[in-house]
Amino acid sequence: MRLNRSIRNRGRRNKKGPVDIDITSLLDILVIMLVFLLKSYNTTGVILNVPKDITLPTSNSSDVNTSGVVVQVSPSTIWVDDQVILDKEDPKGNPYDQGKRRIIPLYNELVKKKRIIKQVEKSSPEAQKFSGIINLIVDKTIKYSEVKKILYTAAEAGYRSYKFVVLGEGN
Amino acid sequence: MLRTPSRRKRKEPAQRLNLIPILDAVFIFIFFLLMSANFIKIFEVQSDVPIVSSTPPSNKKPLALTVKVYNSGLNVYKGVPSRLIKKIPKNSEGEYDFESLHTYMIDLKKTYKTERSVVLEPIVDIEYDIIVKIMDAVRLLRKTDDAIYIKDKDGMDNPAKYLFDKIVFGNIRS
Repeated sequence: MRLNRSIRNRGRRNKKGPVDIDITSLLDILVIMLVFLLKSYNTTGVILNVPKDITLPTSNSSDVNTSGVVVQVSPSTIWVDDQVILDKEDPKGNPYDQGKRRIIPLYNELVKKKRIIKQVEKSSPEAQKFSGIINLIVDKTIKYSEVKKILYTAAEAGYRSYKFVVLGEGN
Repeated sequence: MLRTPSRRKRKEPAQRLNLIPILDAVFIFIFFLLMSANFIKIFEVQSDVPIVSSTPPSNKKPLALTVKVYNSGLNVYKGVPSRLIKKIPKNSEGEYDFESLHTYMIDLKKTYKTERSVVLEPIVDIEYDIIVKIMDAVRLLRKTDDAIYIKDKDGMDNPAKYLFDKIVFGNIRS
């Protein structure tokens, strides 16, 4: 005890060898995590938000998603890029025209989106060009008569390609 | 008599941190997280807007394949003007027979190997889920199906990946 406190041993008494940490098990965990994350990794970079009211239909398709304007359709609401444009339970006025085939708020919003994309396209040569793609996130219980109105409205607004967003089989 | 050097006497082995309990806890935690995580795979099914083409029709007779959805079942038409070639009634459970439709589409693809278009016309107000299932039946060639080989420009036989993948809704303007 006295030796430890002695002046001669000052500076030496706390000198210990480097701490050797065993990280084998930590690396095991990291490998497992990496495998799981790589398996679930989406390389397309397209982020699609599915509202909680919407249950997507399942499909055998394995075509990866492409970017475009996103229209989400639940039994009660229609969104465009996550922004509510029609609440069917509380519509402000008659939202349909052209013999109930066209949804006016949806048409206006899609035209607005198209105009913005085209303006950006003109201002910057590197900007993404207007693809005419519309990603449709539609609840599986929606009837064809309603889907038809959305398809018709999108076509009228100048969108030429529909991409029906579906869940992969096994989800 | 020389005294033992104190330095040598006090030499202790380097202390190792015991990380095993904490790593066990982390492992269990990650395992639970991964088990409860919902890895959803989202894909797409493509369809194009029907357009009126300005290009003159080729001399080749078009297949003009059309699938109409009725209350009683699925009807397949071909040619211009369209001619009914197959009636697929609902199965005993009262549901549309997607398997029979798929099998018939494979037979058609074997005859019309280069054809890729199909017009889908739901006449009745069916649910979107059924539309997706019909689209799957007409467009995808599954791994378990018979392989269909299509000649490319160089005369090489390549296996077809799709049946009739260019789907157009024929009655959205009606």
